[in-house]
Amino acid sequence: MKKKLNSSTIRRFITIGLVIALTALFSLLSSNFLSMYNLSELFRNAAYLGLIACGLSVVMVGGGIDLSVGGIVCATGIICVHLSDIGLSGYMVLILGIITGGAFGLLNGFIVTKLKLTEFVTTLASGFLFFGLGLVFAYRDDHGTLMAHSIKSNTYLSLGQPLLPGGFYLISLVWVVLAIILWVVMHKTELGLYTFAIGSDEKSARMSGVNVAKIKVIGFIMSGAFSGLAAVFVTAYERTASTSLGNMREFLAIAACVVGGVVLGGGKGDAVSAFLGALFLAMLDNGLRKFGMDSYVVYMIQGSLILVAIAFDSQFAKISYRRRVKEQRLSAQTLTS
Amino acid sequence: MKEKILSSLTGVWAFRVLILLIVCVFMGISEPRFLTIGNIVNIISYISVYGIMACGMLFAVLIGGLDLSIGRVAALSGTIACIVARVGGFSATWCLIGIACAIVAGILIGYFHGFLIVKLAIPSFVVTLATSYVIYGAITLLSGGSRVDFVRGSLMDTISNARIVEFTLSSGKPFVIQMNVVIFIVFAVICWYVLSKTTFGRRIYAIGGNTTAAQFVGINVFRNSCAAYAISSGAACIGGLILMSSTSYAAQTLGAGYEGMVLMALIVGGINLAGGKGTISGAIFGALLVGIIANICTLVDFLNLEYLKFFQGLIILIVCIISVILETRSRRGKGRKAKQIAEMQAQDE
Repeated sequence: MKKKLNSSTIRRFITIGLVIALTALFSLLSSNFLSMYNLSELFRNAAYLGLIACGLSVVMVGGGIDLSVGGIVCATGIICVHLSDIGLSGYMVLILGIITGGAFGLLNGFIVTKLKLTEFVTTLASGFLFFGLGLVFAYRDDHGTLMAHSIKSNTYLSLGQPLLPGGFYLISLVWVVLAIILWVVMHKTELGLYTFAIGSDEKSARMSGVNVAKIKVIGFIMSGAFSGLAAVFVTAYERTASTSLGNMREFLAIAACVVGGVVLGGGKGDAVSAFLGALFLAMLDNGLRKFGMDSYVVYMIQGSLILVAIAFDSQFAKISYRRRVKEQRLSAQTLTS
Repeated sequence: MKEKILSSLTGVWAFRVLILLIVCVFMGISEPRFLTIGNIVNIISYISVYGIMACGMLFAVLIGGLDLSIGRVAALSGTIACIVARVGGFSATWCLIGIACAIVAGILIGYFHGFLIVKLAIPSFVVTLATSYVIYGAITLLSGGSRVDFVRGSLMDTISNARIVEFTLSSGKPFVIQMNVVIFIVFAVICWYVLSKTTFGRRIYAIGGNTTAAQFVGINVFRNSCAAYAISSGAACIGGLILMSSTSYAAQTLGAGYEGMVLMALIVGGINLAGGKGTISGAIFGALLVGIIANICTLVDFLNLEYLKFFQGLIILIVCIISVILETRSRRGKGRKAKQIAEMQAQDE
């Protein structure tokens, strides 16, 4: 019997098709789009967004939302620069950055599961809190005005240097590897299975004995830790941590997840969806800027894209639901006859 | 009668007044500049924009939605008003046309939000977050990325800075109430009337309380929700015009971050984000508290105004946690009471 494609596979193909189409379009229109330099820059930008989006996808698949990822990037980045100033090596800072981000995620998870606030309110407020924390920790001169402070630790800076002479950054490699690992975790382990279960129907998951609170907290910790990781690499590349770090990242990360096929409300999509979505958005940004489009046009396109993607997904879900109902009716008819 | 007095003492208003009193007494002792009449007028003038936006966003929150685009809509309205009025050289008629254009644009944006949220069933915060980026792009497209100044002394100046009441106090200091405070009070009274005295207001509460039930009762959910989002955006426009008038120019950064402040005001004011619960007085109280906190941050030397964001997050979280705890406790209390009554009835039988 011919196996029919299920809706998530179709959605995955649509995303891959979009990425390929955009690559083809930009490489035809611009000669240096596929140059080594541009690709490495593209993958660095995509990795910054993609790492956050991959972590966020765990929360979103579980039916939640995390609007605090931008704030986590800001606070963790500034804390990391402080840590390296104390004299810690870059690798220590990397580990501590992940832990700091994870701790912020743990705070979100604690408030959501123990204090029973909704995910949206919690992470919106804690996002303000983390951005505020960044401002509190930011480097200031004697008059209290913000000042630039560059990183001195060489090992820390080496995290942001290209790996190859042509330019290929560590963050891109880490992103690809982690996206694959996260895909395996989501599809081959109990943790992933439970996350999908909670995202599809939290009540029945709880009834079936899934420890919903634990899985949710793990999701938030992952989201925070990935944001912390991204913050370490970005501060290393930019050689400083400004307070505008992570600004708007929560919006772009949600956009990446949604465009890639992670459905708002949970149960569909995975880290690879987030990966593809981030790649698509970064490519769009890169290509449009190449044609001299200003950043505000890019904002407008990104904003419209998120709406189009969600509207598409809701219509797509309707169609695939109708198809499933029709099939079930057909099989029921054949059974009765 | 005794119960009535007792309930009013322990009620919501007593709680609010208590909080305000504690903050004011504490601040008055530690910072003598805080309790001067000039500063209090300052605070009220400062919260007029927040207050108007909070009253408008209350409509969106009451039907169970959110409007995170109000900051950008405010910037857009200021920009549109200035650009349109510039065509006619900031004469009074052209200023009025500009203001009208800005408010119409805001209402259209609100209807667009309503369409996406209700018809396409997209969560409201995603819609408004996404449109706020589109609007940000649109503002930059309109203004070319630079600020748009208006001519001093034109009608645009009057929106915020006209002095309505002005006299000198016995201490020799001037006492001034500006136009923005008057607009704020008028708008709040209109919103209060609409919410508590009209059928439209009842419908808004009904939709927020239970959308399905409201639909079965025969309420046109789509039309009324659209109107609620339109009021939210329209209020943001009025707030944006006042903001533009008081800063004397329009720019894309004008209302940045206001959605967070207004949200904080609503949450502090006891408005349930799940919808269906909340009053105008709560929204105004919230705006007042936000204004006082911002004022404290500017008055006290060791606090930087930039730290406001930190407090913003902290306060939203703490207030939400307290309200959730109180709600579960009262629910448990109600359950216990019901159980007791049931037991007593069983004993009687």
